[in-house]
Amino acid sequence: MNLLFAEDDALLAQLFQLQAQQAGHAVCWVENGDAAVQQALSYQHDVILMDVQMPVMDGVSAMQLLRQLGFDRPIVAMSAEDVVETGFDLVLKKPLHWDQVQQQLSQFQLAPSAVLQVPLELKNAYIQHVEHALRQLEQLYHEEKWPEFAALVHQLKGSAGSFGLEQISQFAHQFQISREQSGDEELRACAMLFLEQCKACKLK
Amino acid sequence: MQTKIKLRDQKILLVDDLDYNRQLLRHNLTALFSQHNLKYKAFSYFQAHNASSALLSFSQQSPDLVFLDIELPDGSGIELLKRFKEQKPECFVVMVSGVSTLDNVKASIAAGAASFIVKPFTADKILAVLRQFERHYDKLLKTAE
Repeated sequence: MNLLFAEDDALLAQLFQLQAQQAGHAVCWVENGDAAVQQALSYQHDVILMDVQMPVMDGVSAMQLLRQLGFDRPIVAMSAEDVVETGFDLVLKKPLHWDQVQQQLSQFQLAPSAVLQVPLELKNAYIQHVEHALRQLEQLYHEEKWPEFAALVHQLKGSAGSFGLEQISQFAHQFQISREQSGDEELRACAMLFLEQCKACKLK
Repeated sequence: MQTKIKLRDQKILLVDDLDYNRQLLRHNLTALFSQHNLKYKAFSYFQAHNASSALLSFSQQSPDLVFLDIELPDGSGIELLKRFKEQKPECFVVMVSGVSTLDNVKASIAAGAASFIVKPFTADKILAVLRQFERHYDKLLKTAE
């Protein structure tokens, strides 16, 4: 199973990861409810295990947000206290005992899975679009038109991963993070790094 | 006013500024509908590349299911969502975003979004949303009976 484990206690999370991985599960660990919502919306996980008391956003609020968005995969609460809110599929009492957790997890099914189809013709057309966008970005870099540069990078970030160009999407994500953290001086260097990374990337 | 629901009269509107995204989504929606034993298969597709053309298309076609990109060149997808819901409250709108910030998620829920997916597109995300739509449409049909 692919498990999403939302827990602010790092030691507990490490222990859970170890036990779950030994039992053949894949675990993605996040530290708060906000990150849990964002991860859950990737629809990569079969079951979500949610600590009720977490910083930034608690587990109940995160579960409620997901349910409001029609999220129908199992969400399991983990708490030392009684949990009365509806919306959880199950409540696991803390401290967790792996044997019990495993037994309870077995009642859930794997989420239905499918593979995205990318017709070759469409992929080739998209690659040409990326090549054109990279030439445009180079021009924008020389003209120091940073808002336009950032908008085009944002578009690449959102689309490249869908067409199997995950690296371009990752580089764009890194550029966006660097941009938020850097001043005007560093922005130029971030943009240059992004262009160099993309150029070195094999598109076909 | 609630419009009358008819079986096999579903329409899908795809709103994204990038043509390649719309084509990819349409191709995979068609494939998933036929491969995964989903009830509702008879769809017509409509596409819009910006907010103003999306609003026009929505008014003309009255779609049942909308995939709506949050970041559009001429406006916010969330503002557009509000307009859609005013016109057709039962419409199932899936917000699509390259960034899943909590603010975006909360604003989408407040404006009436039925679902939210984060780019890049994967078949699992699209399939999960289609199953949600299926349940939503089942309920609408039952209410209309």
